[in-house]
Amino acid sequence: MEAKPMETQSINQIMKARRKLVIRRMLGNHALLFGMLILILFGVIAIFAPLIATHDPYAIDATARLQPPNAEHLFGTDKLGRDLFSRIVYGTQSSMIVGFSVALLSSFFGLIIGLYSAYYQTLDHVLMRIVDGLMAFPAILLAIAIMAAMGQNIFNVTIALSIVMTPVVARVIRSTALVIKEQTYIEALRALGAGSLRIIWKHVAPNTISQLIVQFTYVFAISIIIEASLSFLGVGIPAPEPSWGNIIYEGKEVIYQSWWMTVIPGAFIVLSVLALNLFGDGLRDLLDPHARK
Amino acid sequence: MKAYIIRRVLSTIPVLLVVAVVVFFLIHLTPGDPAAVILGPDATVDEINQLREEMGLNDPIFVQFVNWFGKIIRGDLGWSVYMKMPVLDAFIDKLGPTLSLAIFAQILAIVIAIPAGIIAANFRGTKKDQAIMTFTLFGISIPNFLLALLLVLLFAVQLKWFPVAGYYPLSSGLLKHLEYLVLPALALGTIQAALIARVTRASMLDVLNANYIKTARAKGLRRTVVIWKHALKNAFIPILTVIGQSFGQLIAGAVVTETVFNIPGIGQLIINAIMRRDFEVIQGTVLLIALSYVLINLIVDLMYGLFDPRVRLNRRN
Repeated sequence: MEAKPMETQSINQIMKARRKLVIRRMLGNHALLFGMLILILFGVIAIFAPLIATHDPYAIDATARLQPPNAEHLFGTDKLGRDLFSRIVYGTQSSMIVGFSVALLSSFFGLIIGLYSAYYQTLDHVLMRIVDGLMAFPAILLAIAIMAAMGQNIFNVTIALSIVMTPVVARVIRSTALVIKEQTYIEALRALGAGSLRIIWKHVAPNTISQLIVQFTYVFAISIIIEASLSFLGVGIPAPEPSWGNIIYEGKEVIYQSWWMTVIPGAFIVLSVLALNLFGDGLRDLLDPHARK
Repeated sequence: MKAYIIRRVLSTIPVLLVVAVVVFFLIHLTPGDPAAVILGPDATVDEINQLREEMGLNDPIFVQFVNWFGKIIRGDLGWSVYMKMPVLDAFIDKLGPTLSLAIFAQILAIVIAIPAGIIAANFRGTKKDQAIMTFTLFGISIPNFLLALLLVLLFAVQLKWFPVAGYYPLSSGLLKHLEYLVLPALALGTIQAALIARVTRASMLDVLNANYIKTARAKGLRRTVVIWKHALKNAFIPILTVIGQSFGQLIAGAVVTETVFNIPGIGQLIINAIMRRDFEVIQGTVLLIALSYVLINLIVDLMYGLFDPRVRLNRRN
C-alpha cells in the first residue's frame, strides 16, 4: 500500500477532475436543473406539510362553500368549505409518499429479479415469463383490480403500484445486466474463481446503477399519474383523506362553476410529473452519454 | 417462416398461463372470505357456507384453479351477481363504445404523431424540433382524465363547441356519434400521440444516419422522397411496435376517459363492478383485456416476421 502513493494521488486527481466535469455538465443541463429544483420544492412541501398548510384540511365550513381563490383561501374552497390550499399541500404529501415508496420498492425488487435472471439462464425463463404475464395487463387496470380486491387505503395503493411497476424495472435491469455479463472483465473474474454472488453484487450490480436511478425517476412519475387516476376513479386514496386525484374527482361535479378545483390540483400533478420526466431525461443524458442521440 | 410462427405461438402459452394465475389469485387477495365479502355484512353464516360450497371455495386451491381454468377455456368467464348475466355477455355489451373511442383516438394519434415525429427528426435541434418535443413531454406528463377535464372546461363549458358528456352509438348517425366522441378521443389521442411521436423521431433519426439514405441522397433523389419513401419505410418497425404495444394502454386509458364523459363502456362496467363488489366481472374483464393484448402482440410479431426476414431468423427476442 505504502509503495504506491503516486498512483493513489493521480487516481484521486482523476476522480476529482471527473467529479468536476459531472458537476459542470449538470449545471449546463437546464432541463435537469429545472426538474431538480421543482422536485426539491415538492419534497419540501411534502415534508413540511403541517407547517405550510394554512387550515385544517378536514375542517368543514358551511359558510365558505365553493369560494374562488382569495386572500383567506389561497386556492379557494370545495363543496364542504374546506380550504383547498391545505388539502392540496397534504395531497402533495400523499402523492410524494406513494410515488417515492413505489419507486423504492419496485427498484429494489426489480434490481434483484433483473440481476438474477440475467445471470442464471433457467431462472431467466421462469422469471421473464412471469414478467411478460404481468406486463400483459395495462398498468392502471391491474392496479384497479388489485385495489378492488384489497380495499382502498394509501398502503394498498403503494403495494398495488409496486406489483405493477416491478416488472418494468426488472426488464430494463435484465437487459443492461445481460450486456455487462458478456464483458471480458466478468469472464476474467470467473476465470480467477470469483463466486457468483460476488460477481453479481460487486461487479454487475454497480454497473446497472445509473439505469436504475433513471428508472427510479420514471417509475416515480408514472406512479403519481396512476395514483391520481385511481383516486380520481374512487379506488385510490379514500375520500376524506386529501389527494390530488380525489380533489379533482370532487371538482368534477362542480366543474361549471368551480374551475379551480380541477385546474389547481391538475397543475400540481403535471408539474411534478414533468419535473420527474425532465430530471430523468437529464440524468440519462448525464450518466449515459451514448443514449444522447 | 413456419418454424417462426410455431415458436412464436408456443411462446404465448406460458404468458397466458401467468395471466390466468394472476387473475385467478386476484379474488384471493381479498382480505377475509370472498363469499362473505360478496354477500355483504348482512349475510348469515348458512348463506355464506352455501355460497362457499357453490363457489368451490372449500376445495384445495389447486383444484379450484383447475376448475376455474377449465371454465375459462370453455368461454365461461363467470356470472355477474348484480347484473344477473354472464360476464362475457356484459363485456360484449359494453365493448362497442370503448372500441369506438380507442380506435378514433388511435387514428387521431397516428395522424398527428407520425408527421410530427418525422418533422422533429428532420429539423433536429431547431425550434420546430424543440416545440414538438416540448409538446410530447407535456403529453406524457398529464394523466388522461385531467386532460379530458381541461378539454371539457375549454371546449364544452367555455366555448360550447362540443357537448360536455354523453354518448350516442353509431346507429344514431355517424355525425352525432363523432360529435360526442371528439373530446374523449382528443384527450386519449393526445397522450398516445406524444408516445408515438417520440418513438417516430428516435426511429427516424436512427434510419436517417444509415448509409443507404446517404446513397439515396448522393444519387440525387430529393430530400422529401428520401424521407417519405426510403426512411419512413425502414423506420416503421419500432413505430408499429409501439402502436401495437400501446393497445393495452389505450384500452386502459379509454376506461379512465370514459368515466369523465359518462360513456357506457368497459370503464363504467369496471367501476360499477367495484362499487357493487361484483368480483367476477372485474376478474373477467381484466382477463379479457390482458388476453387481447397478448393476441394483438402475437399478431404484430407475426407481421414483422412476414415483412422482415431478420426477425424470423433471430432466435432470442
